[in-house]
Amino acid sequence: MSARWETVVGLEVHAQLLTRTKLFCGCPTSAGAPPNVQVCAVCLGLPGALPAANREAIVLGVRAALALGLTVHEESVFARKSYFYPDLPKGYQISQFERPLATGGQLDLETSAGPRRVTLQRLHLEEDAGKSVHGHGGDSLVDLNRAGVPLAEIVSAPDLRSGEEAATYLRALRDVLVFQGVNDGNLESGSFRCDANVSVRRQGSDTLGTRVELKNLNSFRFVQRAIEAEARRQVALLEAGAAVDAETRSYDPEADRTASLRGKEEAHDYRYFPDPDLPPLRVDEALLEAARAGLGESPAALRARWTEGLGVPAAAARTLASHPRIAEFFQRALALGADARRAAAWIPTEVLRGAEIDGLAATFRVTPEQVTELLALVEEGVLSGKQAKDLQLEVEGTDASPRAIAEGRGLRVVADEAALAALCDELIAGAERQVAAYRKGQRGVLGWFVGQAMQRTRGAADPRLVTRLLTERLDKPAS
Amino acid sequence: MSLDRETVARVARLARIELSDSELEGLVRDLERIVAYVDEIGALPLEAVPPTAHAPGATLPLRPDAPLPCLDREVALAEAPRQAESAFAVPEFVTE
Repeated sequence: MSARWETVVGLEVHAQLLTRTKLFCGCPTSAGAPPNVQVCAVCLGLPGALPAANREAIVLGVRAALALGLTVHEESVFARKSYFYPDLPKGYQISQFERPLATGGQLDLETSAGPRRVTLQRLHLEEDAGKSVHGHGGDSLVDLNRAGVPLAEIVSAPDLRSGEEAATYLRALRDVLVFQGVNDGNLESGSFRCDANVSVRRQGSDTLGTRVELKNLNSFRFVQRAIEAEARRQVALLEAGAAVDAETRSYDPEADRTASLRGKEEAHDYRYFPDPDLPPLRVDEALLEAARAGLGESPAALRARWTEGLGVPAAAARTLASHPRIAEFFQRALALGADARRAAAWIPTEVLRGAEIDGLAATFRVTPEQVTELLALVEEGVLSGKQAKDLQLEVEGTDASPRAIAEGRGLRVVADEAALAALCDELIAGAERQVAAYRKGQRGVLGWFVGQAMQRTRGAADPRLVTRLLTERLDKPAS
Repeated sequence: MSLDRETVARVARLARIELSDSELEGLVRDLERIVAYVDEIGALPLEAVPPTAHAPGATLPLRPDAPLPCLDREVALAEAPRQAESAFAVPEFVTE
């Protein structure tokens, strides 16, 4: 894109809160159910049904807000957002408008252009709509299992300056939500969704251009590419003297371009008003306590602690803090006494190779206990790195102890100094010719002695200790 | 405050209510009377009273996150004008 133009992006993220039931009724939220089995009078919008708010959804929303440094308001209000759409059975969505749950936070990013702080304007709670399948002989088919599932909508200020920055922001935001157990971070399944507001302006300008909303961006890569494609389109329009229309567009990854989604229709008039069925939400001390109770360390805090406090390289720290289960694995190994740097080098390659990550869950083929033993065996000199990798393959999927296996094979280090000293004395006493050669200056003979010691212990002696013990004795003047 | 014909037509459109010209005329007259009645509140000295959307002091009751029985699908779909493949069938609303 021309260097004379600047891209301006703000993102709206919808993150499904990990509750068992919907926001205003007791229907389950589990994914993958057959169509229209997780529905009731409330989420179908049947006349006379009344909403009953889910406490856990509020707690998770407050926890997300606290983790993102937003100010949680003591009182917020659910409002009706009116519009007609077949997947919205009531004819309105229950959301928050003038008085959201929380406002004014920030998220710090490391971008290729250096650190950047993005302002978070607000976090509010709302219910999801249903799911539609189009193209069924002129019909659309509506499944209302998702209708009423609790969402946190998190709105950033237009602080992002490229598609790449937007993708970086989304990853960082997802990491925070996933680490707090608030959301499973799954873009493909739609439990973490993103709309992007994109505009362009001349470099140096501080007024915002006309913005276009990009909908349904379901991968980090598409977010980046869609924003880049849309910015190119807008610049081309403006350079040709045309204007950008404020509209909603979608991204076609095959063609790498955006297309108008809704066409020119009447501007939305949502006529928000406080939902008469739902008095103001009061976040009292008990709710705050419940939210704080589950509040864990943020990925950024973990990375800082590991790199600065434990000397873990930054790249390894990023990988270890990329998922809560991986971070837990590493922390468990540390608690068991694993060396931080060895564990940080081992886990991203040897443990993650066989790991399966699915949303918030992860399955590892080895345990932190096994890895801690393997690393200790390497540190003690019992195993080479290669041997440790082979031994890990043997114990994967079992609860076998690597140390027990190594010991069972006679793989152990004799580091008993008295026993090795006696052995060295014996070797020296029985090798007068070699001793004499050494003392005449043939230092290479030391290697022969070490070799003998290793042979006698079948490789179990600690070679560094043996070398020291032999040198001490051989360097002593003949008595 | 008075209501003109365009405003009423617009509200009807937003509410997806189709009105004939004579119905619209009747509604303009009815709504004007209703709005005029509500306007009487505007004559009261209410500067010190904050807007009240709910009964004062009421707060949102919260329920535990425990599943409750859902409707049987047959029951859920029974009132729908049309259904197909266990879903509510509606005229296609997005062409892709």
